[in-house]
Amino acid sequence: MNEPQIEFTIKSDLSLVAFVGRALSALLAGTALEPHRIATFELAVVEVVTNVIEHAYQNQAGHKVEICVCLGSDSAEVQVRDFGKKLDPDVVERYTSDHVEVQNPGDSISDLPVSGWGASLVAKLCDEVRYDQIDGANVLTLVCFIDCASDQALPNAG
Amino acid sequence: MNFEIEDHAENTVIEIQAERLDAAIAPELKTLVTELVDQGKRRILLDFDKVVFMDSSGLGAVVSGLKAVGEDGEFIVCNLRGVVKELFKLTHMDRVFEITDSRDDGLQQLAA
Repeated sequence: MNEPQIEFTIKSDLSLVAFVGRALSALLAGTALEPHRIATFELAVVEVVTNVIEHAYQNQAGHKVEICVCLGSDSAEVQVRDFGKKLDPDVVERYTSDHVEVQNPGDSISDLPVSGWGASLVAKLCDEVRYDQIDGANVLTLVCFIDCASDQALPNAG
Repeated sequence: MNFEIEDHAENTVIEIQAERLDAAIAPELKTLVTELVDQGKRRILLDFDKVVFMDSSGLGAVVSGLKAVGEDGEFIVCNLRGVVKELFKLTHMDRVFEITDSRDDGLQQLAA
């Protein structure tokens, strides 16, 4: 059976990232993923698309960000493709590391971080993250496994 | 209008009107809190009642708010739900912020 695949494109504009999140959330609502996992997977994808606009395209408007959602029976997979600056190896490491811990904040308010969580959150919230350079494009693939034991049955299932 | 301001004596409530606190509106929140602090308002309650989604850029703006009021001020957040609450936990910011379940609790806390 063919797995449904939906592709869409936005321009590199931060005000359009919400559209990606809402569209993904609506698509995942039709799977067996529980609402909490849909929300955290949406967060991971939004972090990636935001990073593409802010870093790969350095906030320049008018560039393409392509999103491809593939819904399988045992996983949901999202590919985010851009044609901007190549990802730094240390960022790739943070996106794809298996052993991610978000750093504990210090005691002093003035030392608190105000950014830098994105890649670590993505690694923490996804079951699998892959990075490839394909024909000059950055391709980040985020995977969320559908665990039937813990995720809810489909809403209308017997 | 993404944010609404209410004055309660020397306390200020910022009610987030947007459903999503993300990179598109985070700079606006950061600027707003800076302006309030410049006006001498350093006892702030940030109400998330209408917010269903927040990303790390949004959280960064909230942390900037806490830093802007400083050690002598108060910056409380209330009505966190779902992925918003989860993001505070994942980044350990739930240990840094004073968090209340409701606006009334937050105002009582500010008045204490």
